[in-house]
Amino acid sequence: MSKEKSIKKQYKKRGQMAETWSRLKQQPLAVVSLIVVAFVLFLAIFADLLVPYSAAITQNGMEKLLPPFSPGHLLGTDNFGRDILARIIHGARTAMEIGLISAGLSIVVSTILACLCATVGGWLDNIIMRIVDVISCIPQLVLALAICSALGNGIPQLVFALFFTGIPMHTKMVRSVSLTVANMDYVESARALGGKKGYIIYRHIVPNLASVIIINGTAQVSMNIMMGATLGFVGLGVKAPTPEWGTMLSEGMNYMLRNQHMVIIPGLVLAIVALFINSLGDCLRDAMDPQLKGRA
Amino acid sequence: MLKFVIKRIIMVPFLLLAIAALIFFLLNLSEADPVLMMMPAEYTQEDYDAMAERFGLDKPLPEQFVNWVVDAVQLDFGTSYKSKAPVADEILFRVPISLQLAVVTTVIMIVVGVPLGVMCAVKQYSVFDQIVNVLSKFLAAIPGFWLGLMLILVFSVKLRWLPSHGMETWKSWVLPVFTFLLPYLGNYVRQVRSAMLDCIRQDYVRTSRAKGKKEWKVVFIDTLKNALLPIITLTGGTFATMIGGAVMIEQVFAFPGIGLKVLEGINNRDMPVILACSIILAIFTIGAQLIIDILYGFIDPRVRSTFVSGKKKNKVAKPAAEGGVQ
Repeated sequence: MSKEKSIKKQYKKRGQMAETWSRLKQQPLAVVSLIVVAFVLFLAIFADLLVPYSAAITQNGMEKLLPPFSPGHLLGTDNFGRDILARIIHGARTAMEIGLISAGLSIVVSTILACLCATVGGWLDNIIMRIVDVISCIPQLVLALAICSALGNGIPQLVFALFFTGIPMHTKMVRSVSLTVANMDYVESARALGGKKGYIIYRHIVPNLASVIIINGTAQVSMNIMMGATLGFVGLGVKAPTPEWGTMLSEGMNYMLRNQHMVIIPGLVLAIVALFINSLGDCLRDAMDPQLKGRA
Repeated sequence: MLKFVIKRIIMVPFLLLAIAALIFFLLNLSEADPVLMMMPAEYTQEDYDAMAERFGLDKPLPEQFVNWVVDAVQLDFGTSYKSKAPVADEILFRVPISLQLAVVTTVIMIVVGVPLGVMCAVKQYSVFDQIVNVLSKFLAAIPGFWLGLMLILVFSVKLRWLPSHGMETWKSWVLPVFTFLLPYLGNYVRQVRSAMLDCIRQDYVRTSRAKGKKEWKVVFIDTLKNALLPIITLTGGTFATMIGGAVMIEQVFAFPGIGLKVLEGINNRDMPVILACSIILAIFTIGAQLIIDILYGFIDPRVRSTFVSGKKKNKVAKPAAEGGVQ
């Protein structure tokens, strides 16, 4: 009896997540990217404990445009005398809020839409896909610009714009995968056994979409962070004193000739964060689908 | 084949109508009153009504939209709220400029990207492949507008080799085109490589190698020809995203294209300008998509055979001509 149990335990099938995790741990790049992303998340969550918010927005006429490595200001100050390091740290919070919430929302909504398309099909599929076609004909940035200009500045508006523009691409992608899944034999047999649509979606289709969702979701987070910064750069992002990397860049542009640090630092941070989120996504893809490894 | 193309072309006006409606109502979500913004500091109710009537803003929204559509079909995109000049005059001359920028960049991307991608696939896991791979990941992560600023800093401010703005000589095109190209190039090369890798291990490639064909023939004729379809989709998709991305490039380099105008319109809350620019950008996107679909028809024998002499032969599933091949 006990022997049987131990055998069972030994051969117990590990879940997909545990399997993925163990493969992910073996890739050095994945570990590095995870550490960097975790570090940025740490900065975002504990921004207030690291540097008080007031340091990021208090203007100080005495210490304008100090270069990096000045005493008390590791990364220097901007044209209002605000500490750039503090603004970068609090900007991480803004960026993460924008990137994670908007990408998360658009993934949830587009997965639901895609599952409906794949299982209900027919007219519903037609309507959803035609709407998606229409939205995806407008360049993403232009659509986001239009939404932001109509709704005004602020984080919720920005999140909504990015959420809305992210839907079409995901819906297309997730739909094509869920159509393949919906035609699998096990879904057919579940249907033959009398499984309801909701049950089939929840139990059979969504678990098989997990890898697509996670991989695309990671890419979407970095894309949305970048897009948020882009909108901030043209002055449509967050409200004025809120520290945000794109806004910092556009402020720095006016002082570019003499004080390059105001332009170089936020852009560099943005590029590094995007780079490591992207490479985390690539590693996740390799770990989830070993057959694809090294292909794309 | 002809029927297929005609079918796609018939869809275009409906798509444009839907896009116009979407943007029109999105822009009208704004609470700001456009009439109020155009009025001088002191005005009377009569002035206000006159201004509203002049711009057709006194009518209900659906009627405004219908009027706009009727005018737009005749290439009259209304009057700019800001400059009070016809929008068409301000915009149409910018179309070739933007188009030129996107097309030049795309051509360079194909000329540089396809050979690089093929090389990477042929020499998979070699040092060359690894270097290109790492480099392309870096390029894909750099925000385009920031790259532009950095290039201006180095080549215009420090070295003084190239102008930072304007479009007088060919020199002033160098920086915008490069800034535009680099972030997309990395992704492009990687996707070309993966399309090639999908084909390179197929049986027909092994067969032709076994028959003793020259290696370059195997690579360029047997493999590349088959990898062409995903590459075309990719090129079209990249072109479509570039059209949106051009907005930022034009902003950074003060390049007088559609993108610069749309930003100007957004800053001034100038609805006719935003609407007209968005429609033109959408036409670019749809046009690119249409060209891909037509090319597909010419290149893919499966699609071609479906539409032979208007009679549908064996019904084959139409390959997904959608961007974002994963």
